[in-house]
Amino acid sequence: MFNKQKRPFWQLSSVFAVIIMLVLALSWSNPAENAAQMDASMADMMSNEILGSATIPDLFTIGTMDSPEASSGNGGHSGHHDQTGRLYAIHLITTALLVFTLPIIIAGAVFLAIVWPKPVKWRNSK
Amino acid sequence: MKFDFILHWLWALVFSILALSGIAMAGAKYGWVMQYDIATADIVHRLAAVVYVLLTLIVILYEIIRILRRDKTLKPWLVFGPSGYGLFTFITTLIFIITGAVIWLFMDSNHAATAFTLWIHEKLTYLAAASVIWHIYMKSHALKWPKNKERKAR
Repeated sequence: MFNKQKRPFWQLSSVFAVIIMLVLALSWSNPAENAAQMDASMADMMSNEILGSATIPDLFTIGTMDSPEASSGNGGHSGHHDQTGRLYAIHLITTALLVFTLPIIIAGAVFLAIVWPKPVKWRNSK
Repeated sequence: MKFDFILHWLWALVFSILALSGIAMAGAKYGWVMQYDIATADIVHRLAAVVYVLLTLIVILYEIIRILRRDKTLKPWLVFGPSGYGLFTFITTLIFIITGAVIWLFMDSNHAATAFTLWIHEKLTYLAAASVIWHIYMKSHALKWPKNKERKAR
């Protein structure tokens, strides 16, 4: 029934199936399981709540929609910005890395998008 | 060991971590993937995302250097390429990085942009995960241990 050449794929699949079964068995008695009653994903919920009333200019305007956490002052995120310590340092370093590497990645991607469609022979002959 | 081979498997490892931590955060239904520890999933996802961005930068620079040096050698393990699955990975990676950066940087200041990019980021995750399964199936011969080569070497 199965192609012999594809046997490693099915072996790998069975290993992952066992891992999934074990994780499901471990989380079976987890009290947080009750939280899983919500069907919609976070992206679907956010798009239903926010994108329904948003316009295209809203996508490019910073600060037009106030964060509920920031305005209330006691939200989950408001505390994060005041934190000092290892976690905040990691946040600063990783954000800086992301901001500095992003333009280089986009420039490199544009270069490849221009060069790649040209035939290999053309690229090698010059 | 070849550089493109190392990059490929590093990429696979980082992508797996990103997929698992991302799916754990995607919604309450999938929280069991990381035992409903969303805070840890968030930190793991962000740290892995930075490694993913750096790996992308390395692969792009490596490919540019190869083109500028007119390197003709085939690199079958390289994750990006001008056609096929390499091109698909290249395009999806760029979308993942750009949408991820918007979510990361504007989560508190622009909810409309965050909601829009988060939706793209999540749906693309399912497409990329399905494509990875297909990729593993198509390239499953690469998972075989090279017994014959070992014997010949001895």
